[in-house]
Amino acid sequence: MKASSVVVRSVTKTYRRGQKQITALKDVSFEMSQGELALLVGPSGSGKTTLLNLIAALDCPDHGEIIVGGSEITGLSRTAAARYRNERVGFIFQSYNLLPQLTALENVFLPMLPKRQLDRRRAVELLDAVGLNDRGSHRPSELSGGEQQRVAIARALVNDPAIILADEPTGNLDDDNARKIAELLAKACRERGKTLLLVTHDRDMIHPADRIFDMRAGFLTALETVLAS
Amino acid sequence: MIWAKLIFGGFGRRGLEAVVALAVLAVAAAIVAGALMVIEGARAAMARTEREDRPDIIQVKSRFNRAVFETPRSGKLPPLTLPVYEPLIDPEKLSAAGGTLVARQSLLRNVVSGTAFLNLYIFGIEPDRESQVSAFSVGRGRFLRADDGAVAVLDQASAEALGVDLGGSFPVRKADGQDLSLTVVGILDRLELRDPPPRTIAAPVLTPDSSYVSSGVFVTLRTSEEIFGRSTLTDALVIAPAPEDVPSVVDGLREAFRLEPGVFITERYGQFRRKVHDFAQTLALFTIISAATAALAGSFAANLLHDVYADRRRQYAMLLALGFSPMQTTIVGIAIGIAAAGAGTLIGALVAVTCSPSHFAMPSLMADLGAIEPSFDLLIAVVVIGVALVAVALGMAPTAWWLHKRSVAGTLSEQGR
Repeated sequence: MKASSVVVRSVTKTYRRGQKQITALKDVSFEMSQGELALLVGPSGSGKTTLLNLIAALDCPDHGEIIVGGSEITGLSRTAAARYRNERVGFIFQSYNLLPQLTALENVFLPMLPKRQLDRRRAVELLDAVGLNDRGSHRPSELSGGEQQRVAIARALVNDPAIILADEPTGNLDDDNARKIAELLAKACRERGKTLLLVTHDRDMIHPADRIFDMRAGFLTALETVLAS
Repeated sequence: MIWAKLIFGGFGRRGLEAVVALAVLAVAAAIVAGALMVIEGARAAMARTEREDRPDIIQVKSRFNRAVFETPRSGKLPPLTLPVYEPLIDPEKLSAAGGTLVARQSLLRNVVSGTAFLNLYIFGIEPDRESQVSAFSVGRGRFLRADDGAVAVLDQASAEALGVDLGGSFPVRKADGQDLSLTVVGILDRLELRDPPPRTIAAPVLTPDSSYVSSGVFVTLRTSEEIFGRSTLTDALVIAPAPEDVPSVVDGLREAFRLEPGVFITERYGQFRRKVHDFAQTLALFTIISAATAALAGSFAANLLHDVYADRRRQYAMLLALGFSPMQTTIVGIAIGIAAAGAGTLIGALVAVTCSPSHFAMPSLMADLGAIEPSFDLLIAVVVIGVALVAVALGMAPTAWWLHKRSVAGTLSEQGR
């Protein structure tokens, strides 16, 4: 049995919106093994993005604990959380979040800056791996949506993190591009042994996924283990 | 390069607001620096006034004798000696009024010089005390000492006119008709006698065309009393313990000499007070100008920078999400503000320094302070930089607070809408 890469135990998260208290996650618990590829599916507002944000230490849970790679990440200081995100997590956003003033290549090696270890060759290799070796000098505004998301995938992988968290990475893309991006992401993670947790509405986004988590109204309602064919 | 792009790139139209903020800060820096330079110049003028005018010094002088001076060459009168001022001042009364007394006897004598007579101003002084108020530059020899006898220190012009040099001597007629031989122990190449008597007769001068006596023979008060034949003074200076004590000392002097209409008491403290008043008005006026400019322009620049920063919140949150530490993100954010503030301040300060007049004429109500020379110093630099930094801090504070209070996910979510 592989060691657990991500452990989420009894995590609860509530938001206050005006006078109203919204519970985004209710006592969510699950584990993921190293190298596992999982889908997190569910309707909008069910808490999928919140769960991803908590695992990425972009937000803090109200209750419960999250252990990544054997280390508790809840309660980290802002600086420690930043270091954790930089070294151990690759995050892919639905809206790409590329910096418009940087070229595609610069966006890829942007996460290397905090550590001051710029490996330009690795960034070029990753850009090549996502099929954009000839677009490195282009700015995001000069790239299509699919190309921008490819750059974001390369950026997520550049620091060789153990976990890739992808928040609806194909949400802004057409079906053809969405399928290609999903395949690219899954392939990149499988080849590199990364744990992937991908938020999507499409249960067939990655085929075959190792597991599918189903979220409804803040609860993790079902865990399906998909046997590799 | 990538850091430069992170800091300065991707502003879009907000870049124009950053440039406007820079321009506003430049204008503010120029106005604030200009106003502070005037204040600084006024302060220097004030210090110069205090140093040169010595408002703590009160001049006491006897009636000036304007009698016609005649030499024996006219054949009508025997050699005649007249004081510059009449010797009407009793030193005892002066001392009673308080303050430090600088006693003087100012005499006019004609001295045989070759085949002619030469008019000489002779000053009996107390060397140590006189040196505190007047400036003597000894070119050769030495200055007077309190225990000196029949010796004299005289200026270069008088020495040349007399044809004497260091170690030489010349006769001076005493009041009893006898001659006193004075030995020259020092030659002055420059002298500034405080409150010198007016020049009324041709005599050697160090400062040509001056209306006051700019040269003379200096002997100790004891020697001048021997020449003069009396111990009363022709003029004197009284140094009050502090400028604020001048009115009380003057009152005391006026009381002491109330029965002697030939004694005049002059003080500069009143004029000095008016200059202080003018300085205070200058200070107030230009402080208001600089404070108002700093407040208005600073808040405008801060508002512009606030818009710039608010527009970049998502980008700063992105950097945090990618693993930039809060400190690194702050550096990326603050650098643009510092750059705008630094450039604006530098441009403004340079404009102020290069465009300000070398002499600033004050408004008529402040004429007593005279012409002011605006000057730039470290304090002004600190103030204008401070104004710019406060504007940057105020502009950045809401965004910094936003990023600090909210989670990275929350900022990304809210700014992404």
